[in-house]
Amino acid sequence: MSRALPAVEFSALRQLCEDRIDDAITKLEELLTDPLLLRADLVQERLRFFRRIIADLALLETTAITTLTRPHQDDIALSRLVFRIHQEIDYPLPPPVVTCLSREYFSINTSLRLLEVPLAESDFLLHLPDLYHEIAHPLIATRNNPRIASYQSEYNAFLKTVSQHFDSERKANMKSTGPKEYFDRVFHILEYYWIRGWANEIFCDLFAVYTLGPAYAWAHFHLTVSQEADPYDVQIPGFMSHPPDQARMESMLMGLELMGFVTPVSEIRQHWDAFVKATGARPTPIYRRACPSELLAAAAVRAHEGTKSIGCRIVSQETSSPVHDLLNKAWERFWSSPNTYHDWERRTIASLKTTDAREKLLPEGSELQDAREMPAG
Amino acid sequence: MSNGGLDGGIYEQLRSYADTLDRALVALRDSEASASSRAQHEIAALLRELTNGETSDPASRLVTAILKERLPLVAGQGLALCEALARALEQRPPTSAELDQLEQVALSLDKECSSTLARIKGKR
Repeated sequence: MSRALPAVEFSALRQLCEDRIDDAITKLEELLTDPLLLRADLVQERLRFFRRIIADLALLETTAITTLTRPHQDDIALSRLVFRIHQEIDYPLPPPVVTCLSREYFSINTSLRLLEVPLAESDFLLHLPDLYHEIAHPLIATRNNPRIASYQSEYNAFLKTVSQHFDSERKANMKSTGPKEYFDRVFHILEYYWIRGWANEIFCDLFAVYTLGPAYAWAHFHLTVSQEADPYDVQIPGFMSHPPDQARMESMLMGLELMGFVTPVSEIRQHWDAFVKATGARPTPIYRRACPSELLAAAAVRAHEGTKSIGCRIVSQETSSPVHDLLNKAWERFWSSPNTYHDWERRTIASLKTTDAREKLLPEGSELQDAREMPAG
Repeated sequence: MSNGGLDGGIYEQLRSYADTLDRALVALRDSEASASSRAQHEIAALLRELTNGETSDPASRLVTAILKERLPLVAGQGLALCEALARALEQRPPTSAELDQLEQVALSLDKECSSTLARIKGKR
């Protein structure tokens, strides 16, 4: 990697790549020279080590190294935007670098701190609230960092609540008259879904709601409307990495209610209910067994405590800061002036991509411009 | 909201446990008695951590849930196998049959690492 850095924002990523490559080379040399590892009865371990090192290098090559060798101006603009978010909300970990090379939707590589965004998303505002969701993933995945230990403690307490809930369900099932074996398996699968991914996703949704506000719930609404999935769908048997969209929306609204956003909750709920009605989807019995309101409420409370405990700014109706205002007002404008929204969005994005960290985020002459400046430093 | 963020974190945590267990399995075969004894107790502690319902570590809770679901597919038994192995290793070096079972636990973690990585790459 002898190329010059495309921008200072990429320096940590480059250093991380160089360290990872050095580490992989050292481990490969060890596989070739360590007499213990070369023993015939340890061939399985040697093969597993080898495959994992190669897999790590391949992942590094297709993500971070691609980002460093094919930089785009939009990567820099969004990396700066994430840096502003990091400052605004007092995010306790280093801000990730953004690349617009995602082939899917928004995602983050937590160990490389590389946030991947689809190329076109840097030209629109309405999905950018998902940046807040993605930066929450490292708060769960990072290990041994005392700055976020209290957040993880709340998360762990929630996982324990999940296990206790499904233990109780299994015990009640043993006393029931229904097909016991079937439901026992169902409750094991649901517990597995929750602990493997659903709890994580719902905590990240709630982090976004607590640090950004209603714009995140609107973004989830928009994303769900544009997909074909049934918001109540629970696949058993099967595999579900993410919770049903209905459960995600319910927990977000609980979070917003906790913070006192009465009017936005009412508006979002009204649009959501109309959307669900239009799809013809209905809650199934398994949906409520999978996503009971008490678990969603417990998640809302635990995530709120966790987010507060690490010193992140929790939004209120009085909160004002540039990125927060931009993303929330984009949604307000989208609903209030749909005919002029796209022109306004185009101008705002153009302005966003050319401003530096201390400049205004909204273009001159915008009726939404509140002339709020980024704080110095 | 794609799988990348979620699976990336899961992969890192699984990988960390898989590497720790494999390293300890290598050291367990070390001809130097102190090294193999240390590895024996390290594996026992790791298995205890994975079967402790009161753990304060969410990463350990995650790996436990995954093993509980996946281990029976590889080893024919779930977490009870880990508990039995932990009990044995706390008292004495493993028998040849127990070494095979430890290999199955390691294989199970490794398989889950591979399938999580495949999911990150969008292969499934």
